[in-house]
Amino acid sequence: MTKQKHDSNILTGLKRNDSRVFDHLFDQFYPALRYFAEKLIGDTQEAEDIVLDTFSKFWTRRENFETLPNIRAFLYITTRNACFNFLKYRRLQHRREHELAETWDPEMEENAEQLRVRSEVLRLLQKEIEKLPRKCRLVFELTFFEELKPNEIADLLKISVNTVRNQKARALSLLKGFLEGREILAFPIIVGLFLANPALL
Amino acid sequence: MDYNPEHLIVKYLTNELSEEERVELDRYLSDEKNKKFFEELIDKKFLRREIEEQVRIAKGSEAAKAKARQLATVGAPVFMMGRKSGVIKYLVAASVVAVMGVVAWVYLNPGKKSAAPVIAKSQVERFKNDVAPANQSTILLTADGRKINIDSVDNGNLSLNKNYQILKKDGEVIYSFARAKPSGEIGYSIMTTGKGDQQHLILSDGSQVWLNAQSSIRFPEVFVGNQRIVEVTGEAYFDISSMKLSKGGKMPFIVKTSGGSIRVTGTQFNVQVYSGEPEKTTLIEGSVLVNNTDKVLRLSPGQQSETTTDGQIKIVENANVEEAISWRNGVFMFKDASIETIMKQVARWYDIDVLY
Repeated sequence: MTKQKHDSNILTGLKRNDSRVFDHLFDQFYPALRYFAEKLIGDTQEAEDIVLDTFSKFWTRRENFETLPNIRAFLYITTRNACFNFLKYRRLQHRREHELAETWDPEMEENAEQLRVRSEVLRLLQKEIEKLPRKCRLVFELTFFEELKPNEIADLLKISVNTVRNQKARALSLLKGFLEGREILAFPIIVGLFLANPALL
Repeated sequence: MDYNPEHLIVKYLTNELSEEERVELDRYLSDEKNKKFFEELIDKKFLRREIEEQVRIAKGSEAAKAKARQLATVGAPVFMMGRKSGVIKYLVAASVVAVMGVVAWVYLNPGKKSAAPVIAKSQVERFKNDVAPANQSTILLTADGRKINIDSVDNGNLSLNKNYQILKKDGEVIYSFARAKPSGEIGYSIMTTGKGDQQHLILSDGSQVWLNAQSSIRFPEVFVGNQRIVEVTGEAYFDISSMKLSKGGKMPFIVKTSGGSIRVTGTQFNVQVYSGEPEKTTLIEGSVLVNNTDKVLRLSPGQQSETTTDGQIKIVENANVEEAISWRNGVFMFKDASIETIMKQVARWYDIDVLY
């Protein structure tokens, strides 16, 4: 199944109230959103509550989404706003109690965007790595994260150096394929943006 | 073309940036704040650690998903799985004294003799009423094929090889170079401990190994080449000395077991791999890479990994590091362990057969 077909299945599923779509989107985005919220406000329980609430809001509006990037943007913006509200509320509280904790300040907007980028980079990397076949993934992880050389990997895994090189090449070409698939979906939106504002070109 | 910063960064990391994308990334990075953020993000250690955090969240998300479905009133009714209690409390027949945890007393078969314990003598005073473990000797199989009983041989040099010495002193065996570079083929020794025996071994690079009962280590008499490799069965505690490679960097020390291998450069850790039980590695200090042919995991100090029979390597939640290495002080430590675990450890130390 191509990325395009997969994404359009999600959108039609939403319109038909298919609960499996909820599960799928939850599985895809919950860890990154929870991570994002937790880093913003520093409270695990509250972060979970906020993200669950975000998914609930999303499901209420499920018919209004046209693309997956739309959905993704909604999830992050809703979570971010809820976090800011929480921090503002906490700031009010702590003015009286003088506690040291994360509170809202104007710089938060920028930090939140960077945190969102970080959450997405982590999510995307992990997602692509998970798709790799087992041996291939192992070789990739040892190369990428542990920065081992091919002969060291060959020794650890009891395989030949040639096999290591092949698996490495395979991993990179697979990752490239996964990453390129995403472009197909983003393209219409970017084109749309450019048409609306040629200055962006 | 996709110009979201997150997609550009992921492509940068996997070397998939096109020319135009490279230009966009540079544009993004021309902002000092973005540049700083980017540099922190692309650090491999940081990436690894943060990805692991998201994976950890994902692993525990079933309950959250059920809650989310209820909250959003999605589809059919939802059941929440109760958590299984993973702790089996164990009460020993004899009284149990709590010292840093739990010390188990055991009744020996009355017909058996008990020999003097080989383990830490300072503990003898404290645990006067303890029953002493059985004593079967440690055997050293040298590269030249001799089987030496470590406990019965005199102190001194056991080596017949001019290149190095095998010094036996009270309580330890030390391998060391006599010459700068060994000539000829490198031989391997195997040290095997019996029931109730512990042995302290110092390898030719200064790394220290403490073998627990019924364990063995196979090692080259002298380390040459770019790696130091040993093979272990049973249980051993390692204090690895850091060694530099002539071309730069550190020489790795690799412990191979039936389950996979453990790779370090200078560190302290405990390996437990008794047959029929999952393999456990506990890290005290430094950094360790644990792997089998399917999976790889990096441990931080205080962490313990467990390799199950179906080839999974997992981090053990709330591992009790003290308990894992308590055997080195001659004290048995069992906290919330199952009766099976306790009796297995006991059987290794006391010359008894356990039926449970």
